Amino acid sequence: MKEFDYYRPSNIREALDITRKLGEGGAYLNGGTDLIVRMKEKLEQPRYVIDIKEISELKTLIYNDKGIHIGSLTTLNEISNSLNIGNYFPGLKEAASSVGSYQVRARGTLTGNLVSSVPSADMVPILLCYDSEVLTIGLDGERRIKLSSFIKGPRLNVLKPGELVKEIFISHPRYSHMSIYLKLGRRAAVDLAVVGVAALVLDTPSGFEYRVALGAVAPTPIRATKIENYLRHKVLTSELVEEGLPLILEEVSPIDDVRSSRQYRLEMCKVFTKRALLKAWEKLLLLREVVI
Amino acid sequence: MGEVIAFERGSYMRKSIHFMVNGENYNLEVFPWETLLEVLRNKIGITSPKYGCGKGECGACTVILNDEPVNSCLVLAIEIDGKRIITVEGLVKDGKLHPLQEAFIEKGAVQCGFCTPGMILSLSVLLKRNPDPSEEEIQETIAGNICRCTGYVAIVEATRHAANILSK
Amino acid sequence: MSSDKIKEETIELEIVKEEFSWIGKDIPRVDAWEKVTGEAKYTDDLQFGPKLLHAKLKRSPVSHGKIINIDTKRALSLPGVKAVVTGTDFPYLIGLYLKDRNLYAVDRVRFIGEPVAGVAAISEEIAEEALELIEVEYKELPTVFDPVLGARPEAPIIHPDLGRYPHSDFIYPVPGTNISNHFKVRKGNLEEGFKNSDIIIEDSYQVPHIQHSTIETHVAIAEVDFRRNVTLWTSSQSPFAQRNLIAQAFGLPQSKVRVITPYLGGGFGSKAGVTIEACLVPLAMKVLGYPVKLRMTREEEFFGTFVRQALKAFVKMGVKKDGKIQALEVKYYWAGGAYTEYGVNITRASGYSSSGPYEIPNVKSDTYCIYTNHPVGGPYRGFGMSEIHFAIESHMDEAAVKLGMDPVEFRLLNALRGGAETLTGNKMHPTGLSDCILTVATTLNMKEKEVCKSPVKVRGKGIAAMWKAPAMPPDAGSSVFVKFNEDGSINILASGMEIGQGYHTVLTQIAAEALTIHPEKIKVLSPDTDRNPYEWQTVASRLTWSTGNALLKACQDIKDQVFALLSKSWEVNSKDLYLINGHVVCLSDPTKKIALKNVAIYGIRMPDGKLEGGPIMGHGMFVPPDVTPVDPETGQGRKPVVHFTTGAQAVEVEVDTETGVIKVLKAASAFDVGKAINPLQVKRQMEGGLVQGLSSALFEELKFDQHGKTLNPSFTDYKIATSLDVPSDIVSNIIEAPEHDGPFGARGIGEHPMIPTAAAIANAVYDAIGVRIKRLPLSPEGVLSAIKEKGGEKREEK
Repeated sequence: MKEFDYYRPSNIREALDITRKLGEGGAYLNGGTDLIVRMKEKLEQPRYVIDIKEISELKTLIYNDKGIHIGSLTTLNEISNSLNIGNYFPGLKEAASSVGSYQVRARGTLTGNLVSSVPSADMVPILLCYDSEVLTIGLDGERRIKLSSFIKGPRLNVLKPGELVKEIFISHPRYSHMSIYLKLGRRAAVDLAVVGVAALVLDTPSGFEYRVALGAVAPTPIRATKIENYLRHKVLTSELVEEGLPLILEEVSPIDDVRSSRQYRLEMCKVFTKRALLKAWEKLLLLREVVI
Repeated sequence: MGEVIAFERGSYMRKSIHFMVNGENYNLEVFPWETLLEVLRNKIGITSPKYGCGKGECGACTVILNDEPVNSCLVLAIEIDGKRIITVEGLVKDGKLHPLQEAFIEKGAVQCGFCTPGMILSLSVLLKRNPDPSEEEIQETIAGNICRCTGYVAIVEATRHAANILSK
Repeated sequence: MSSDKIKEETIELEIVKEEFSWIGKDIPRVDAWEKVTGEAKYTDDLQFGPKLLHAKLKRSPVSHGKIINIDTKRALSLPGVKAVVTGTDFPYLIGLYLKDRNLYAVDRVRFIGEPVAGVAAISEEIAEEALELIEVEYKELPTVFDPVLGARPEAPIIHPDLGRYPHSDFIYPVPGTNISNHFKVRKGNLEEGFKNSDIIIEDSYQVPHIQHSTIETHVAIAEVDFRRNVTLWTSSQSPFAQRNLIAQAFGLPQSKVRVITPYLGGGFGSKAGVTIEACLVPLAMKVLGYPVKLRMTREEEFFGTFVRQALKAFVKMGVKKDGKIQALEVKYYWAGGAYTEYGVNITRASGYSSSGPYEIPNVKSDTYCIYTNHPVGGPYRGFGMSEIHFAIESHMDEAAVKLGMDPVEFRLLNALRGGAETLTGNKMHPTGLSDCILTVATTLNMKEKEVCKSPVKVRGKGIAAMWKAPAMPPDAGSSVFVKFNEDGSINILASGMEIGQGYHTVLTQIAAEALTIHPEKIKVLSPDTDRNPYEWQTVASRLTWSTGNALLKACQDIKDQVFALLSKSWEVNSKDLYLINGHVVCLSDPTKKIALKNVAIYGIRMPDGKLEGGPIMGHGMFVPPDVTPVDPETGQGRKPVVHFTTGAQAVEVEVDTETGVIKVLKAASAFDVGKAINPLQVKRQMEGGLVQGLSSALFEELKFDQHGKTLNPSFTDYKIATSLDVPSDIVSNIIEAPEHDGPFGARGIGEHPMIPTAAAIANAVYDAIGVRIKRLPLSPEGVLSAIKEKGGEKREEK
């Protein structure tokens, strides 16, 4: 690793003061499971690092009737183990459990996964399905950013120099719903997604609504709105999904790389979208029966 | 030779950190870029956490940091100021082995032994969290501890055995 | 009776003796305590103090090229740099069977990643920085990546000096080509064989380069003193081969090189022979008095050490309707990588085993080791057998399908039995091969097809058999010292490596049995070539057999000495003396009894009052007793190898027909180990090997771009099996047809459990989806496209 200076502020103001004083070339250190690897590989060489782990304002995990506020320091294991998340945002729990290893999830955070902004970031598809929001704070004050406009490209996002994520907010969907995350890796665990698909089925008074988001098949994780629109207010069947699947291919643009071929990823977009939708749908029906 | 380091890296700060390893207190000066793995191995002389990949992919460097297993190759030493570390040496209490250590010996769950310290630490945290884990929970726990020798079968068996002993 | 005869008789006696105290018992591994507590020291754990320097290697970015110029001036002037070395500083050749490799590239580079210069500095960071200051100018040359194309006469030549490289007399390079070894087998009359066949099956198979992925990366520390004595601490399977090859390369007497090898964090062949040490020692020679450390990063493991050779196999088999194989013609093209100093012998091994474990009257086999501009191919658990068995055992199933015969029956019909003639014209020794095949077939209930609830998933079962002999030169010897301590405990000094296979435990059990000493009183010491006696290498699954025999002789030596002393002192016939529980007792006079500790160090008084004897030390040695060379044109010989371990595996898989993902649900192994010294550890070997085989079958492949650059040199993109990829239902069976010259009848089992796995899985996948995949790994993508192709064919048929 190249040399750098290290700061560990105890509140946000202090953190921002440091960035203001030192200027560009700094990096925020959260769980470090991405940043430290990149620093070792000299892909990132910050002059200084601000460790935000002692900032108590970021340590929140608040569940209320509006939704859930997930502070930046919330680790992926904390998300996997949260009963409220498991009960009310089940796909989020699944996505969190699918990242890396137990050790990585013990350090890695939801925010870190988002801020890495890689195409295969496992947490992003499900956050997209929930229309989540990102609350940031920077030298120019706070911003509330829609998740759909947060990531701009591979490892690119709208954060300005010195700006940091305070929390990710997920509001309760207005109607009862079910969500799911399915991931295809090259082996059963501890792998990056070749394709990751999140699906959410919403039981609205005017019929079912469907949300689908995919990771690792475009420069950023994307919502597949065409198939969502196609399915809206229809009752899901295997045949119906099949009919809609070609629409997926109009929205994704996977690449050939060492992990998979474009062709295989295209195929898997369809297979995993179908599986995710049907599984979420089945689970929702089951839930309805239990309620009835 | 130390002078050269000072010359090369003099403009960067060294920080004094205080932490505990296996119940013992340490005060050390570290550079920000030193990893916990390097400091444990080279400055404290605890060599049971191993370098296997340096990227959090293999788990050979696993240590317990404040009750959670972490890859010490991805933790900066400077981050552990005020924290508690346990390495596999720390599972031995008054010369008596942890039931997992006993079970690994009895069930033949050790071969080359290089992954073993990290493996046992991950599992010890599992058994604290869940004294009666299923086979699948055990497998999930150690998915980030790669073993090239055993095929994991013996490790799962040993862990179930240790759980049985602990629950008695 | 001569003492030799007595020794022979005693060894035989022990073989027929059925009740053992320590042999065949599941004693805990003797190294386990140290390993579970973190006390076990591996090479990287050794501390060398503040004088330690760190080495880093500058590697070639081109896969084949002339070195026009290397400028090291700027690197040398970087503060903290102590030495820089390049190929021309020590332009020596090194190699085990064929000396074709320079320590650092001289004049020419042959793969991306080849070391061209090394730096020793006071820190790793400075050494790394210095690498960037070394400027190298190359002129690129045409490349060879495919072994079949590489074997052609018009291919660009990678080693123009092949004809001048020294090599073992059983290696046959073809100068002027890229063929560094060509091994031939000619048995019977091939044409006749095919003429007699009702069905001829012809196909080709491919196995990619993979890497051992030991969790401990290669690491070594070298220090050269002012009299140029070299000391090397290294993560190696081969302390004595290291010593020998390094001494030869530098023109030093072997005694000036000392190699110390602590515990090894996995070997699987990657740490056999010499690898990174060749680059380290030259650096240490430039900074006399300083220890210098070189540790591979995980990334460097994938191109800076050994990789497994890749294989293109062409198989043609002729079979009679009744299922008897009549003829076999194979061509194995090994992609050996840029240097094949070790790999040439894999080619030889794949030649004399090229038929698989079957009795075939007419065989023509050509195996070629071909230079390519990829990383260096070397030994990998199985020494070529996993690769050729993927071809042969896939082909066996193809033949069974064409015959309409059950694959198990087809194998049993052709399996080698004791007394049958192998492809090299010698008689097979007694073997449990058929038992192994039957056992796994029964365990997995092969005849029954399982149905999967999910409509998109299908299940299948597959079997594969195997054989493997230790591949080694005829002079691969073992030797052992056993010394007593005053408390009656013993230390075993040997130079095999405990690489995880249980060597220390096996030696402990053998000595415990022979000397009736409790295992807790036996210590096995790790090698130090200055102190421990000679051992060739820890490879070829040969140690239980070879060191085991040497140890038995050392124990016998002790008994001879002790009994001679006591028979004189007690005035009894030494034939009446026996060991029981660490005591010598006399059959003819029950009053005579003495603990070994009371005679082993201080001697004993004779009837005349004089003291005789003293510290007793046993020694023993063993070399393969009766191996003979084969005819270079026909591969025929009386006894080309010492013996074959045989075995079989069966697996059940589930294939997701929408994704192509394969899950192995169940697996069964059976291997004929002759005699299991420690049955639990033998089973653990079987499990571990099976999972390593599974990993190579499903996930592993080193990928290269068109320039020969490794694309996935990390655990991020080179995936090996995790705990979640492994079937929880693995049954391991031990079959015991005793090895006539093995200690207690034992033979090796280290490599074998990985050999049939990939083929068994491929056969199970065929059983599930009806498509044969002829290239490893069986990636989801490959499986899916195979399924689709088949679907397409079916639609066309309609």
